[in-house]
Amino acid sequence: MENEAKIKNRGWIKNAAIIFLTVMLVLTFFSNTILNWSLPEVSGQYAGYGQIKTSVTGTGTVKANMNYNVVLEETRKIESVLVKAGDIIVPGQTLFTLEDYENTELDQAEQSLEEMEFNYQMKILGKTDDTETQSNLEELYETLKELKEDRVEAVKNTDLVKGSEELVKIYQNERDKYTQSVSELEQQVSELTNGEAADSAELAAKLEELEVAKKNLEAAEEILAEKNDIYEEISGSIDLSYSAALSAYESAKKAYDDAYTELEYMQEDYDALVNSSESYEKLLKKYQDAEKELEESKSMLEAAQSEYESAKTAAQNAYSGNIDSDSEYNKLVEDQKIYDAALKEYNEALASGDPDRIQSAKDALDALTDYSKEISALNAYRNAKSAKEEASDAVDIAQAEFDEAKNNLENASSATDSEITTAKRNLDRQKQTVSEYSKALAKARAELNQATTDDNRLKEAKDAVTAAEQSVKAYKKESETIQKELDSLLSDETKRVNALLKEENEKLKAVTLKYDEENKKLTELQSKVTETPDQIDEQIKTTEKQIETAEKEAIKQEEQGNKEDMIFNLELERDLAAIEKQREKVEKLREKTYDMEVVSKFDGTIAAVNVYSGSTVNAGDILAEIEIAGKGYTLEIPVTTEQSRAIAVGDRVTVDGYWWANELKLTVSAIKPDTSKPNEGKIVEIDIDGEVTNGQTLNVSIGERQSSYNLVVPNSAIREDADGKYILIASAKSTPLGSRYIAKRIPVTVLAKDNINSAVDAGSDYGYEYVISSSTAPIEDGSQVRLVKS
Amino acid sequence: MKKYSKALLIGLIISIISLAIFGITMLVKNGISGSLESQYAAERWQSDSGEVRYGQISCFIAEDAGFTFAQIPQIEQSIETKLTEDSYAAPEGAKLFLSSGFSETEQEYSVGSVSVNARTYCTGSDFFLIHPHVMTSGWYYTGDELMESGVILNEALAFKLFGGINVAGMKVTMGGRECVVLGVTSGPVSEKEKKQWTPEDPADEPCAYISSDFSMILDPELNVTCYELVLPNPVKDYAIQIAEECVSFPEGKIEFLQNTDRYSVVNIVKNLSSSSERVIKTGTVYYPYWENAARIADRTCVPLAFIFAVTAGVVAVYILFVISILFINKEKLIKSGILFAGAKISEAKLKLKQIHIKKRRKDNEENNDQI
Repeated sequence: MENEAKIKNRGWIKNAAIIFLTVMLVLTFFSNTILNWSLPEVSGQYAGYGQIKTSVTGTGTVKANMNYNVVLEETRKIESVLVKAGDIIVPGQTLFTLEDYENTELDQAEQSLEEMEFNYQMKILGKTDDTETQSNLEELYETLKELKEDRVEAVKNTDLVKGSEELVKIYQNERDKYTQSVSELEQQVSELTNGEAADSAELAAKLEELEVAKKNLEAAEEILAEKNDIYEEISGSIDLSYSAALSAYESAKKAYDDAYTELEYMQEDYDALVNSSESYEKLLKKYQDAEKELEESKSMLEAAQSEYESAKTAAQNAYSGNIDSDSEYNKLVEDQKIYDAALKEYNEALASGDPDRIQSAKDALDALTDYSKEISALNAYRNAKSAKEEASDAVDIAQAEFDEAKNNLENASSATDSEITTAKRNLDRQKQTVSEYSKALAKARAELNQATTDDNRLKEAKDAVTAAEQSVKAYKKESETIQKELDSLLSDETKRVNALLKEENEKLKAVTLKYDEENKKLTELQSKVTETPDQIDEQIKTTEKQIETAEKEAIKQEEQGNKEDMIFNLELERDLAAIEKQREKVEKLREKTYDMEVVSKFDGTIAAVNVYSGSTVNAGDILAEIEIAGKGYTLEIPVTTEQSRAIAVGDRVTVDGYWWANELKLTVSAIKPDTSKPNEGKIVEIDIDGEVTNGQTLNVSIGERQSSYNLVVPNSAIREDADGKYILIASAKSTPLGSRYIAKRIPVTVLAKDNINSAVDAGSDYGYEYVISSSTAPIEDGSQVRLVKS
Repeated sequence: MKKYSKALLIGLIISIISLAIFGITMLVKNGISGSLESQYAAERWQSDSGEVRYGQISCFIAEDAGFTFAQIPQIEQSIETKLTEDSYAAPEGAKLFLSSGFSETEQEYSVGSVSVNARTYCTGSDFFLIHPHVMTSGWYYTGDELMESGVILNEALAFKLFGGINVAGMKVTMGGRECVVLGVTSGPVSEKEKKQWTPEDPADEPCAYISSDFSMILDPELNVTCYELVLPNPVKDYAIQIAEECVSFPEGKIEFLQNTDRYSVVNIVKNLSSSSERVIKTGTVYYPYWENAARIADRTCVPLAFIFAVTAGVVAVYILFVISILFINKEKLIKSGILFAGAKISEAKLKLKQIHIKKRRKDNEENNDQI
């Protein structure tokens, strides 16, 4: 039972171990995949050169640069409206008609004046008997009435004249302006025809360029002439051409080489003759020496032989063993050493006086044998033996040398003296010839050097001439090209100026026509005005004074009456004063115009009509707004102070979302403070050239500036924390399981930014690695990441 | 002692089990609260050098308190003054603290003939540093753009207006003004916050984000309902004190909340006592979508807090039990301890002596060999 339990336990453990190992194996194989699966995936890009576009946008309403408001100075009722918004009008054109003026106030005032005058007159008539005075008064009253009617007419005509005079002035100014413009343009055309282009910077620059090119050409031609002269001079000064000098040198060299070779051969033959004579004597001497040497070595060998014999005998007598054995000899030497050491000890013992020591040393010494004689005899024998062997070797060597000397002597031959003398004579003659050829060669070499130098100078001069000719050609071509460009520019400029001139002429013609028409109208109106309202007022005042005088006269006559008359007179005075007051009131009411029509004073377009038929208009109300023609349009948009820094006067402005945007030309004309928000904002004023209408709303973009930067990254790559802004790069690290990517923090400074990208400065820490712009999970510096598979 | 050994053993086993339950509960708590990215802005803002700790504070303001975006710069100025007085300064090129207001309104967006009404969130430029969002195209505003008229659309709004979501850089009209689409977002990074961001079908709920500068142009009187700060918090409650001093409103009009360490074990156990009060809303303060998600997480953490308290209590009780037993039997223990110590010391001395003898013997043998 126990065994079974044990077996079961072992089996369980085994299974668990197998499972564990299997799991570990799988995890190991798939560790990379598992690890990657858990890592956040990142995407990004390599930062590099790019551009940042900034622009300021805004919306504004178009306004005409000059508007005119049509107003009335009294309360009137509109009978009909003859224009609508958008209509183009001319000066004098009727815009509105007004209903008959029922000025009840004036009517009442006139009526009460009439009543007062009538009552006054009735009073006077009832009282006075002076019919003459009365008829005089009636005449004066009649005259006064006529004068007042004349005044009304005069006021109306005067206003028309004023309006017409204003228009004439405007047209005159415009005519003068166009006249001046035309004369300036004509002046420009004449200058251009004459080839002058003082006003155009481009043409002036081109002319200057042409001048410079012509000067360069002249200078190049001068240099060419100079170089040609130098070439001619050098060519004329050369006596001998290079080719002739070269062939002369080559001939001289050949002759010299041949002579020298011959000399060498003759020298060899001579030396051989001399050597052969010398060498025979040497060989003979050597033979004799070798023979002598042989004899000496033989005799020495004999002596050594006898020495050997005697030493051998002595050694045999001294030593009984083998005298030739080295081992026996060495043993003897060793034993002798021991004996010598014992002897030395004995001597020392004797010297010390120690009897025991002496005795023991003596005993030791007695036990040994002295082999000095044997060794001495053996040494003598050995020496004699080696001497004999050396002498034998010497004899062998001497014999060999003798045999060689003898052989050489038998083979040698000897030249005669006469042969040597002849050879010497020939040799000397050849040497003389070689010397002469050598001098000729040196001369030819010198001439060749001179010819080479001259030839080089000539070549240089030729090259200089060629270069100068090419330079002249190039400058000529440049001049021609610039001339062609200048002619083309002049022609274009002339065409442009002519077109402008034609336009200005037409405008001048139109404005002159308008001026003449208006002038004519003014003359007609002026002719209608015979007396001015002031003159008529004077006459009215005079007549009234006369009336007053006459009335006073009549009153005076009554004053002489009784008390009732006095009261009557007082009443008359009071009535007269009241009449005067009423007259003044009536005058004031009459001074206003009684126009039935409202006419336009200017050319333009109706921007707005604020009234309708039947409406009552109070004094000062605006009936219509007119955009005066030819004065342009503007648009204003508010911007912040920071936005205003990105804009400059003169910047082009583009319109967004407008079909006819390409036909409009918008330019920033001014940047001014916003009075409603001082220090917080500015107002940008934009001039519009093109077809727009007053009140139209436009969306504009100003100053699309594009700046280039070395490092541009997407905005999503810029991160920020308490230490400032930074980007994360994916830095690769090699591991046994493959490359791993770690997010690394690089601090940056943002230089510029638009809606998509930012330009940054990363300092020296950034080496253009992969910048992380987005990730599937939050990451930070040091996080391990995986790159998105592309 | 022997009679307590069984109790000690059982107590030890129970303590180990309690610690295991504590650990598992901690994992569950981290799973619930860890995904609420909006609550960890201070941890993200704090740099790796970690020299200064940061804290995140949320201020929920009633709509009738009259707090507008125009008042925020003044509050930021007073915060900066207080921090400077306490010798805190931002490193060069960095900000010392984060500040963002939040409000909600409705606007009409149109492209060509297509018009859509969408919920529009008006936020400060630091909003997305505190509440990270997933951007499917483009990026969000950071406050240093030249033009403030940029909008961020959600995918539903982008699809309704343009028929696609890769529309960063395109133009849209809003409130009569032409705006540039800066980016398109699929919502907050946290899934729990995303559920509160669009509680209904996310594909059908259009919404957009605009900067506070732009919202001031459209409606200067728009009321801010939430104001968030990430401030240096070197000691406990420093950041919230600064917030309470600088963002001052009448009682009942504002609530302050410290997000940092909101889901620490200590805090969620402390909140057990006030969990019933937190269900009741007494003021007129409005909570934005991320705070709703956080409050749901708070509610989910209540039973976890209970478990933390119980398991910690069990372990504490066991430790006390052990200490008390030791205290009761202290004389015996001291004595046996002394004996045990003495035996050990003797044993050590004997061993040392043996080593010395062996060494001396060896030395002698060597000397003999030499002789």
